[in-house]
Amino acid sequence: MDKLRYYLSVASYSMKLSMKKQLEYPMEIISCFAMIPMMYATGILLLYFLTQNLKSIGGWTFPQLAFLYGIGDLSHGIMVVFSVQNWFLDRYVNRGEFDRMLLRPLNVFFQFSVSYVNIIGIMDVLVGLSVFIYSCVLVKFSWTFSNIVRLVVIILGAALIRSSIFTIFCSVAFWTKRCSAVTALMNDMLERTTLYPMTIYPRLLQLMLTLIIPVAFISFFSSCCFLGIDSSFRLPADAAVMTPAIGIITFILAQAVFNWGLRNYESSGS
Amino acid sequence: MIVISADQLSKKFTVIRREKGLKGALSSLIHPEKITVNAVDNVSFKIEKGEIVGFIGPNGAGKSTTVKMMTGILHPTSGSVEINGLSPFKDRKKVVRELGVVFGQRTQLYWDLRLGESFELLKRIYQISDSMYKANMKQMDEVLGINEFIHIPVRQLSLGQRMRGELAAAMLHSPPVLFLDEPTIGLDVEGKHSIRKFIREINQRYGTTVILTTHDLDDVEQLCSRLIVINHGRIVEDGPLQDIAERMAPYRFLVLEIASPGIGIRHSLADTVRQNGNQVWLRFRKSEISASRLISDLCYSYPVLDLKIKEPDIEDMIRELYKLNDKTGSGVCN
Amino acid sequence: MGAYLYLAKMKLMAFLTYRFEVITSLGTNLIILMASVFLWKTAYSGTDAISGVTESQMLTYTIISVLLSSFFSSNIEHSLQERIAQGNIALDFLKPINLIFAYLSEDIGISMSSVVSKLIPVLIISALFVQVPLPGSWLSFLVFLISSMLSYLILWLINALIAVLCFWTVQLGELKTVKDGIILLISGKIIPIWMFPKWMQKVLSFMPFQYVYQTPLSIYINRITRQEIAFSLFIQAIWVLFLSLALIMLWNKARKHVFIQGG
Repeated sequence: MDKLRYYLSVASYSMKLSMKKQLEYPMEIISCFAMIPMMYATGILLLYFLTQNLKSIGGWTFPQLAFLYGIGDLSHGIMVVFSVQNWFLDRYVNRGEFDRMLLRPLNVFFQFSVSYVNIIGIMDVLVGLSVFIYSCVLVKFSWTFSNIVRLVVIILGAALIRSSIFTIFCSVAFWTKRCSAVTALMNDMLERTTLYPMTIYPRLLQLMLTLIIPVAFISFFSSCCFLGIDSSFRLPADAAVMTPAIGIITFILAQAVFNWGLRNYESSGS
Repeated sequence: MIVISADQLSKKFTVIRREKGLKGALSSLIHPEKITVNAVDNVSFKIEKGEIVGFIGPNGAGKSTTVKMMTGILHPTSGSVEINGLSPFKDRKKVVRELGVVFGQRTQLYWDLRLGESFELLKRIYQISDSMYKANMKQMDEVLGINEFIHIPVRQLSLGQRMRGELAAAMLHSPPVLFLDEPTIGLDVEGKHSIRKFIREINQRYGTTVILTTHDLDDVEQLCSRLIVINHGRIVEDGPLQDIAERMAPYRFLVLEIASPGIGIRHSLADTVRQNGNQVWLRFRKSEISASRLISDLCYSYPVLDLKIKEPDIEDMIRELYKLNDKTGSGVCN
Repeated sequence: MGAYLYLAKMKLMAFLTYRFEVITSLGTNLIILMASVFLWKTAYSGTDAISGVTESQMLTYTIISVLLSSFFSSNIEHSLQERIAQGNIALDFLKPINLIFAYLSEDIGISMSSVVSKLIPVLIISALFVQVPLPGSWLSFLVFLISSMLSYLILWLINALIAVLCFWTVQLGELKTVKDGIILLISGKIIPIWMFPKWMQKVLSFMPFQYVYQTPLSIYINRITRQEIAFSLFIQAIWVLFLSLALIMLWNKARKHVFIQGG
């Protein structure tokens, strides 16, 4: 309990400092705030134009696709607030930030995780939330208490999966000193696989995206669950259990990969 | 009591050799050639509590690598380090609690925030109690005068102020061992003075063991009781300051500017090594004649307009002195 | 000329040095390719043609679009931003070469390295697993090459214009992302503009973006008439001219800005 309090006090102060640091440059935040909504507009517009011509994609109508996209967006936004530093792991390596963290009597992965809170990401969350609520209206989502609880755990779990995927792949920077190409690869991969329903891909790819890189758990299975669409997979439990469970498993794995990378960093220097 | 002991410490790095030209770029894309570099080679030493030890050597000699291994940032390829009987790799969290570290080239302070905010974070990380924190901050202010700039964002501090801030940050949790990597680099005379004063003070008051790497001969002379000289990854010298400094830097230079170029300058205890125009270089041994004596002698007999004393360059001296070792040294091997 | 060739060659080499980066960015292209291919395959199940375009034409469109985008990489935003942030740009202005051409040469060097590292591998993989992306005719292939060169210039000029804004606002990460997003949506890179509502097609025809992807791609799959081809090439040329003038004007302003502000 004392240990938890200790970690929380360090985490909250470290995050506070990180936010204060960004507020030193308010113009940057404001200009980013103005740009982000446009980014999200492109995704939903693509889906809209496509369904205007095709009526449905793999049996999914525009409202259903929008719902899928909404869950994906919102979880992306939350990830961008709390763990965008994964994208810049190479900077931490090249600037010797991990040297500093290794000199402190705290878990390095923990220090890394609480070293940044992205204020700009709040806009991502807001826009993601609007897209999601809009899609909920389109599919006439029933706002019962249990549905809301399920949604919250699903979206948090989905954000955890996203963040862990980035930790795992960007840890390559511990060896190569660079991860911007990997970040771009993962961003494209995550966008392409959460924008369209998984069923447009061949069975083998679907299996890979479920079992190897568990992208399917981010938005596809949960959308199927809520919308009553056959996902062509039999999940052992409700998405509200599966998504957070997979989130925790990938998070544990991410920590292991990060520590493995850190050991390599310690043996190779920078 | 032994605080730090290193036993046959070695560190090898693997680097990829980049070949020249377009063909080289393509071939290293397919088959990169790797070479091994011995950065630190079989280094052993023991450091007692309360010592101030200077690590000196040319750039790339392995000083920083050795310090990084002592602090647990870098794992040795072979051999071992112990700090208070614990390995910095196996018990990292326990060991680093006992360490304060300052890297002159890197900061542990939040660049855009007030200095005090960085201290507040450290207070939480090291779980320093309020009363302890207050007492420590008071002491830091006494020696380093940090209160006058504690409310200023770090990026606006002068280099000297920032360095004082770094030292305070490193000592906030009262560690018994302090590592300083180039603590006075880039500072003016006054800045250097206050840093040195601080180091002596904590060493005397708390018996803090200090390990420092430096390029500055004055740092060494004013602070260190013991020197460890590293060249090509090996310890070439380890002993009391006086012995080594005398051998390493026996000479000083006195540069005179005289009224007219024709005068030949002579002194029985100094050699005239160079004379061009109005400028004359004299070399003398500290052990044979003091600088003040030499100056007063010369000013008495010659029309001296201006003068300055030049310290020999520490790196040049080491290179010069251990040139022979180079041939047998490890360096790069395939 | 020698100086620019040298710059291009240096960039090519620097890029090839990072083996891992090369493989990862190839992966990015393959993912985008596969996602689009499966999307269109799903879309065409049950229909022969959408807006008069057959499945095979659409797949060719997609493959060539990925090939083009892998070739269309430019680094000017990044390098200019770095030079400005480090305060080196004032020194660059004093060098006896034309900076705009220097950056263009560097980017052409990068594009050339993309031919080896991305374009050829993606082409081989898509030919093996999807289909051989044959052009509509030999003539359309030739005209496609000309049109793509113009596309390259249009896109590069847009990037350069955004990069020059760096002189006034040092942070342009987000602006660049927005530009990339816009190009993704309204250039025909992913979804052809002819699938958009009529009024939007009208609006977009007055913007440079669709001339970057849709124009060369339509020529390649033989979707538009000869007359339309001639007209599109003409408009592409107009855009190159217009954007070049805009860049020169903005560049001269930036130059003055640097010498007044001192970098």
